[in-house]
Amino acid sequence: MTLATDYQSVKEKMNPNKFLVIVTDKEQIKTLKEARITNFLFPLKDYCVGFFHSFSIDEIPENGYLYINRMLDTDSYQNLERLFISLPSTIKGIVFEDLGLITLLEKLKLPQERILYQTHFATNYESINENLKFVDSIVISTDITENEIQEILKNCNKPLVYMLYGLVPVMYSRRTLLKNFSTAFSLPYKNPLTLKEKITNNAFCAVENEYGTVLYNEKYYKGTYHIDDTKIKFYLINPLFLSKEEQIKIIQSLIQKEETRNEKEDQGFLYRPTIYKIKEVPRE
Amino acid sequence: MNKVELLAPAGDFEKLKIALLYGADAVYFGGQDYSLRANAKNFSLEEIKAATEFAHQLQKKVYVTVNIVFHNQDLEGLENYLKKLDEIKIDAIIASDIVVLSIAKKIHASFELHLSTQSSVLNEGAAEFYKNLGVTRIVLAREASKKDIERIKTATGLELECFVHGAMCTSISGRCVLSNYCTNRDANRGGCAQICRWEFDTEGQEQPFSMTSKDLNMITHIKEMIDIGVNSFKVEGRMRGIYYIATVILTYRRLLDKIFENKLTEGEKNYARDVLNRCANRESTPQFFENLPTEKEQYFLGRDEVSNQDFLGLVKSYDTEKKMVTVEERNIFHIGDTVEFFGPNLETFSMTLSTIYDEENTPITTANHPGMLVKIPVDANLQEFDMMRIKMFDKKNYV
Repeated sequence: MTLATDYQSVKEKMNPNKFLVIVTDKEQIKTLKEARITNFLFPLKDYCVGFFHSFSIDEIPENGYLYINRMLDTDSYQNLERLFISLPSTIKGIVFEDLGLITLLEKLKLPQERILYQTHFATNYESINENLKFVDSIVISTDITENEIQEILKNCNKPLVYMLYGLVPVMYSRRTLLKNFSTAFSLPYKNPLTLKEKITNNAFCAVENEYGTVLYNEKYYKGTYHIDDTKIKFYLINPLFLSKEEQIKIIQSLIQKEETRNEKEDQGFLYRPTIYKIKEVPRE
Repeated sequence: MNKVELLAPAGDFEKLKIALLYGADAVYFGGQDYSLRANAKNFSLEEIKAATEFAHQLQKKVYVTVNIVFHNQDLEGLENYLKKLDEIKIDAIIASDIVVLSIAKKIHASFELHLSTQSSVLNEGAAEFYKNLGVTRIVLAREASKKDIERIKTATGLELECFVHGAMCTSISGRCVLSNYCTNRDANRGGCAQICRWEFDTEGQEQPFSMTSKDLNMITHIKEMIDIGVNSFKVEGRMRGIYYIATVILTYRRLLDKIFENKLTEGEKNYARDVLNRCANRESTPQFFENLPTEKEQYFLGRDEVSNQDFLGLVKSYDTEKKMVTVEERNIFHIGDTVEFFGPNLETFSMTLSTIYDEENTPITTANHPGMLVKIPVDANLQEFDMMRIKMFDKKNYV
C-alpha cells in the first residue's frame, strides 16, 4: 500500500486552526475569523515583494505572524535590526526567506517562532533537517511531487508548513520589470500585469513594488490532502487577488477536503516531476 | 593591495586549459552530477583528477560546483562523490544547498567550502550564518552593490568572490522556476531553459513584454572592487567557446596586472572595454554595482545579439625555422584579410594575409572549412593555443 493510499483513507475534516493565511487586505481578517481562521501572516511593509498591501508593525494584531520575503541588502538588513529592537512580544512568529534573519534573531534574542520560507529550496529532508537546527519550522517547496513531500514529512525532525492553496511565486527579480517595460515603450504603467509566454502559453501574473517584481503562476495551486497531518504545523494559504467571498468559499472547501478543481486551479508539480537533465526528456 | 584571483569558467577540459594558459588563477566547473549546468559537457571524476593535476602543476586552483538544489532522490551518492573529490584534492567546492556543506563537514573534507551565488547572499547576517557553517568564501549575489560588498567584507572578513563578466539572470539566483513551469526542466537542478530571454504577450499591448537582462561587464570598476576587498573576480560562461574564454580572461588578466603595477591608463581601460564588447554577443553594463538597473540595462525590441565570427583560427604549432604557423580554421578567412594574433605570452599584433597554404603546402586563397589546417608565414614566435582573429581595433588609437 502506498503512502498516498493510506492518507486518502483519512476522511476527517481539516482543522482551520492549522491554516496560516497571508493577509492581502486588512478587511479580509474579520471575514476569515468568522470562518474560524486564527493564524494570519502579515507582509511587513518595506520587507516584502509580490503584494499590494503590506503592514507596519503597529498594524499587526496580537498573535499575528510577520512575513519578510525580500532578499535583504545591507541597508535593509540594518534598518530591520533597528525595527526589531522594539518588536512587540505580541508578534507570534516571523516567516522569512533571507537566512540573514537567523543571525539577526539570534543576535537580538527574539523569542518569536521562526519559520523559514525559501520559496524553492525546501526540496529534500536532509537539508530541511539541517535548517531546522536554526528555525522552528520550514515551508516545503511547491516545486516537488506528492511522493517527495510525503518522504520529506516522514523524515523531518519537526512539523513543517505546507502550502495548501494559493498563488505560487515562480520568479523574484530585484528589477522593477513592469516599470522598465512601461518606460521603455512610454506605455501606461500597469501593475499587476498578466504575461503570457508566447510558445508554451503559460501565463504569469507580475506584481511589482520598489523592491522588485514577483511573477506568480496564473493558476492557484491546490495542494494535496494526502499527507501526514501530524507532521504539519500549518497549511499555508496565499489568497492574493481573491475576493472575500471567494476566500471563504475556498476555505470551506479545503476544510471539507474537496478534491475538485476549477479552471483557475492546478496541482503544480505534485504529479508532474521536473526533469533534471535534458537527456532524461523522453523521446517521442 | 592584496593579491586577487581571476576565476574562469571551464565547460570542458579544452576550455580549462585555455583559461589557465590565458591567465586565470583558478577555474570552476561541474562534475557530471550535481552541477547547475547540467547540459554542459562537464567532467567525469577521472577528468576532474586530470584537471586538478594540470592546474596544480601550474600552481593554480580548481573549484568544483556542487550547486544544485537537491531533491530527496539526488541525495544518494552525494557523500561518496564528495569523498572522491576530496581524494582528488580539489581546492574547493561551490555549493548552495546546506546538505552539501553539512556532509563536507561530516567527512572532514580538506577542500574549502565556497558558497554559490545561488544562495544570493546580500547582507552581513546571511554571510555570518554561512561562515558559522564553515564556509570560507562567498560568491555574492549578482545584485550586491558596492556598499553591500564593502559592508559584508568589513563585518565578516570572509573571502568574497564577485561576478565581473558575463550573462545575468533576470531573477535573483535560485529564485526562479519559470523553466519548470514552461518546459518542465528544473531550473535549480541545471535545466534552466532561460525563459527570461523569451517574449511574453500582455493584454492590450502591442509590444511584447521582455525581461531580458543585458550582460555584466565590470571593467570600469575593477580597481574599486579590489579596494573594497573583493578577493576573486569571476567570469561567467561555462557554455561559452574557447575564443570567448581566451579573450575575456586575457583582457582581465592584463587589466589586473596593470592595476597592480599601477600602470593602468584610461586608454588601456577603453581598449579592454571595446575588445570585450566586441567578443560578446550581447551588450554589457555594470548592472547593480552603483545603481539599481533600469530599462537601459535590459533588452526590449531590436535585441542586438549577434553571432561572433571574429575567431579565425587556433594556433596548433609554429615552425621557428621556416617561420610558419599552422592554424586550425574556425571561421572563413582570405588572402588580403587583416588579422591579429593574440596569446598569453604574446603582444597582440596584426598583419595582412598575403599567403595561405593548405596541409599539402599548396597555396590557397581562402580557408573556408572549419577545422581545416592551414599554414601561414608569420615572423613571430607563436605558440600552441595562441589565436588568430579578425583585426578589431588599433591599440595605438587608445594611447
